[in-house]
Amino acid sequence: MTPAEILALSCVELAAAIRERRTTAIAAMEAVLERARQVQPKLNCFLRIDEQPALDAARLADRSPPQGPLHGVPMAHKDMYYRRGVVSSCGSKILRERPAPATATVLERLDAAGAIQFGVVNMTEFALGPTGHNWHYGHCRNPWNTERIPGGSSSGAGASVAARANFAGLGSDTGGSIRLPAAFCGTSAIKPTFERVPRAGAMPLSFSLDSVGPLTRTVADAALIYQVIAGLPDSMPDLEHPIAGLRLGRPRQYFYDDCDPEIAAAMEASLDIFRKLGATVVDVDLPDLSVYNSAGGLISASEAAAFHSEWLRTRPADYSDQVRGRLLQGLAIPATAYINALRLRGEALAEFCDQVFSKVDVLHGPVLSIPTPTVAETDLGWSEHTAQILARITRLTRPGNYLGLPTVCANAGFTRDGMPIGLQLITRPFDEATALRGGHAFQRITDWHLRAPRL
Amino acid sequence: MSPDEVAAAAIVAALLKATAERFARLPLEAEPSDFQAEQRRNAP
Repeated sequence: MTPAEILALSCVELAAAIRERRTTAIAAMEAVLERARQVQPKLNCFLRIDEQPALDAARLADRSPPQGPLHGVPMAHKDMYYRRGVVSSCGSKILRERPAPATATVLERLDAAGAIQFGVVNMTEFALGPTGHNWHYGHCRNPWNTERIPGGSSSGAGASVAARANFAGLGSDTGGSIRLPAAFCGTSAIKPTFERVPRAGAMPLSFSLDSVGPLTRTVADAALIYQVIAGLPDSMPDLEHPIAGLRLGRPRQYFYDDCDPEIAAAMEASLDIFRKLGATVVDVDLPDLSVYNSAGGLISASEAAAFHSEWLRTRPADYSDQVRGRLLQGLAIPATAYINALRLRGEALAEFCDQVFSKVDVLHGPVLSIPTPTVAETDLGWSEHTAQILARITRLTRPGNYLGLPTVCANAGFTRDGMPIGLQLITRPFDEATALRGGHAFQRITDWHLRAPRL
Repeated sequence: MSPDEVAAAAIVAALLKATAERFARLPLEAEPSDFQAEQRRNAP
């Protein structure tokens, strides 16, 4: 296979090609390293590339019997998954020299499945921000238009996977940080149910909301990597099971408030695809998600401020202005409000499930209701105005963290100016399988996910 | 107050206002662990 043919493969396809000796791990690694070198000056999506260890590991993989379902597949992850003795900067100046104390459970599981990590990708400082700006290491860029943001905080994972410079990358999601870059960059992704995937060895931002999941080329890849990092038994979720009879909910409230018309049209077109696949579409009423959104904001800000309180006191100048400003906001939240936000969470989940999942199996909607902003217009310090802009970006994702619900993302088309449009499929707690099945069925008869940006 | 603290106070005030009514209606017995119980209750 040529390097271009290798780079066009998904993780599932590449692993099969290596297993069947149609290509080799070293050929895949050389191809992805060359592509990474090519796109890095334009996208700034990598923070570090470990070329020689990655090449050595790939050669070793070619001499070894297949180790697992990802044997020989190159990956680079958000720079907040610790590997013992190696620096994880977390996108920050503060941690740029601290070796990690232990290896993240998810990395151990990916290692055991045969994946080969070849580097780490850019991210928002301490995962605090939805745009992909990083004032310490340089802003990451969207491969579909380098003047636009890639989304964050898992910016480098979204940009590198979309640019075919990475086969998959772990992200993390506290208010939308997996789903937003997936939507902005046109990749697939899964944000699993809260606490379904271990967070041990991952930088914490908000221990009540953080979720670990991959950004990938296809939903089938997301399913495979989810299976590995969640430690599920060998059997894949049954992606090929037909979705005829699946009930999809179209939200009557919230998701389409002030929604960009092109995005709304793409969502309608995607619902038509699901109808062709035999699913039914049902309009559903939602509880007031703006309350969940605000309650999630109270929890996230409080917990992040607690993690950072010592550095806020001793090293305030080592944060970028926007991140420091966001952290300070957590110090102003009364403990009673934080506790009440946690106390409301069970009632909110019950209310949402009773109202939505008693009528449908999946809630369908856009990840974003706004066009992709430019890097320049969102290059902001901290102010109330900045907070309003950022809140607009996370408006359709933060409620999902508060409710802890699993969500699968897929590209549902492009705007007239060539930017991807992301859809999300939200299901009951621990029902990742249904969301993955829906996303995979959608990608079996659409080709949005196969399109690659010209760089 | 610094500009950051002024911005923080305004943003937090908005979050508190948005949640006040729901927090006021919380039953006495509501507690954070209810969330895990609801996760299990609503699992397929």
